[in-house]
Amino acid sequence: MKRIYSVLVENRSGVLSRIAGLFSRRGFNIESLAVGVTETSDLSRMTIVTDADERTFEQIRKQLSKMIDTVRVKALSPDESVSRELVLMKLRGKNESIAAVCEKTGAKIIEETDDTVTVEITASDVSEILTAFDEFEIVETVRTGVISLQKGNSSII
Amino acid sequence: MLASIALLKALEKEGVKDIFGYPGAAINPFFAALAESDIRFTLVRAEISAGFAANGYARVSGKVGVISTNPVGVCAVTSGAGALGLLPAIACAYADSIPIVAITGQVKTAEVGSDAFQEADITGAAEPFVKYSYLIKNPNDIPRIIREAFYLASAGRQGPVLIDIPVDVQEAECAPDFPETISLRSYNPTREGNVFQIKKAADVLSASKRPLIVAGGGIHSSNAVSSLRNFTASHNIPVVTTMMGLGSVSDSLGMIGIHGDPTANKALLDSDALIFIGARAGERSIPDPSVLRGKEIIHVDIDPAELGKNIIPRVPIVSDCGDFLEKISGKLPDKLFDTPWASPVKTAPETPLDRYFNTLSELTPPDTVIASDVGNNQIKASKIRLADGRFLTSGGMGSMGYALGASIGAMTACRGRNIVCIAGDGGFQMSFAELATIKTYSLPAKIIVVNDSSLGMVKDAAVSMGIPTLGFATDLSPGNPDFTALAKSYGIKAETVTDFNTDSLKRMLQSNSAYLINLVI
Repeated sequence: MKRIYSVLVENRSGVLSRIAGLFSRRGFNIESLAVGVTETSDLSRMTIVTDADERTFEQIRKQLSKMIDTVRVKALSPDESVSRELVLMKLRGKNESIAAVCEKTGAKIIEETDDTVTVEITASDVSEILTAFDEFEIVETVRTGVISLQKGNSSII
Repeated sequence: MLASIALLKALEKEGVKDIFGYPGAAINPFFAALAESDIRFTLVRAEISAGFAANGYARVSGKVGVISTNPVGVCAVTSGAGALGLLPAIACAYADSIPIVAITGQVKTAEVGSDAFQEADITGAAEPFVKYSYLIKNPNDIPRIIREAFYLASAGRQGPVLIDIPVDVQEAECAPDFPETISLRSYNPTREGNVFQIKKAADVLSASKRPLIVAGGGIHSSNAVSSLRNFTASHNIPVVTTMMGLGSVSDSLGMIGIHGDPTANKALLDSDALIFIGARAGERSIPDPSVLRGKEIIHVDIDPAELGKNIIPRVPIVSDCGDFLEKISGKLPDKLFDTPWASPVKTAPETPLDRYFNTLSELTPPDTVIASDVGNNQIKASKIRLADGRFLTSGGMGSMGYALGASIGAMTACRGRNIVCIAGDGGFQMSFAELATIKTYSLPAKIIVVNDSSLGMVKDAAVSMGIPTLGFATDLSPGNPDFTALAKSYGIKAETVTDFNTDSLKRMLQSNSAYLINLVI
């Protein structure tokens, strides 16, 4: 089952490799990991999407919390959080047809040449939108991984 | 002030009295400052032994009332191959939650990442085996980092902390500001258990008919030996131990698990409630967790991640072991049971080696420290019962060569306390260069090499796995030295015993200086 952890960590060198190493050596799965600095420059926030059963999910929480650089770990349930993922995709096809699919799916064209079109897709779940572009030749794709926040006035601290 | 001097000052402020290590170009400035310091230095003969010595030192110093040095063991080695040589000992300390601080030299800051001579990414390599690590880039950070390192090594679940210092940082000038307090917003381990959970545990215990305590290494780490002894004596609850928990009580039913005592394993099966205290219930202790079905399980550990990892407890409690025992006592009547439902069974020693070790336990003072290596010698040594003894071993990592290094650390921490090192001929040959260290510092090591001219446990394990042909890889006899002659070449008294004659033990124990018995079995 897909689950999300939001993790507040000290913004120090080595933190990302420590967290990534923890997942690989304990055999935890990472679907995606997005990381960036927060509103406080000495803190970074990671959003980790993992596929795990209940017991493993709990073990991941405990192991993440145990890391010295970890300030806070919060499990985010889909009902109580908002999520977004950003995708950039370079496509080859008829520019007008690509524009039509963009129109239908809410994707945006951000760069266009005679040969290729680059589109930007932002959604809580991008998979369905990505399928809509299957009819075109995909030159390359890059995804940020999911980022999430709790709904309403709750925050991680 | 020179950064290396600031570093030594910071170590002195932490109460460090001894450092074990091996020098090299990238840590020479540190050694230059060490020469001017009051901290004693023990030069070992291989980096790994510096780590094992720091381990033995920490484990014996940690016992309150015996010695007042800092309970964290410290070792220092050079960069690259030197640091990597220490790595197995760091992993050993991590597996057994032993507080050590390892200081490694590193190539110049500007050369980091260039594959310079004797450069290794030691903080990267050690990452899976350390509680935390630092690469010092700014010499002004030294006082804070040393404070944090000693705090992290010894607070919460203890473990190794690595500090890597480029040689140019050691040589830099700095303006150190030694902090009195530590502020780590991200690390606040829970020491006191939740009161409701403790009440629940007390209710489970009160309702049980055959409760059993499983005492692990956490009892020693948290200095809870006397708390546990008082608790079991008051309530007449029997105790079994894990290998790391050996020595926590004097009248335990024995060790549980694969190499455990039948009495202890039977008690585990017969019990209706179990309190795991400072034990992680690993697969060597609880090979088949399904035997715990139907039993009420209380699991007390300082590390929340251990609760629910190997076994699922009914009552998980995050707490220091001693604190838990104190708190739960307040929620129980003065005496829970009039007599324990299970008692230790005194079995006659079966084999000549059992009898030999039994005689050792009768001849040596009850507070003797046994440092054992890994293998059949370790299992036999684990049966030695001493009322107030300690059993030092590499329980988690099974690091061969541990015993001699750990003995050096224990002897350095506790001059005057009897330390007996028990090793097989395999593990001893991974570490015997340390006889030179024992000679250099006149350490009164009592060493028994249990010499079966083979890797006995590996051989036995192969047979039990249905692999009977491992002789080519386990027979050490073609190359084994004469261990007695070897010890004598270091100027250490030694004798070979081929008939289990226990007079040899008397001679060894009466010797004021180091003594080796080559016990041919």
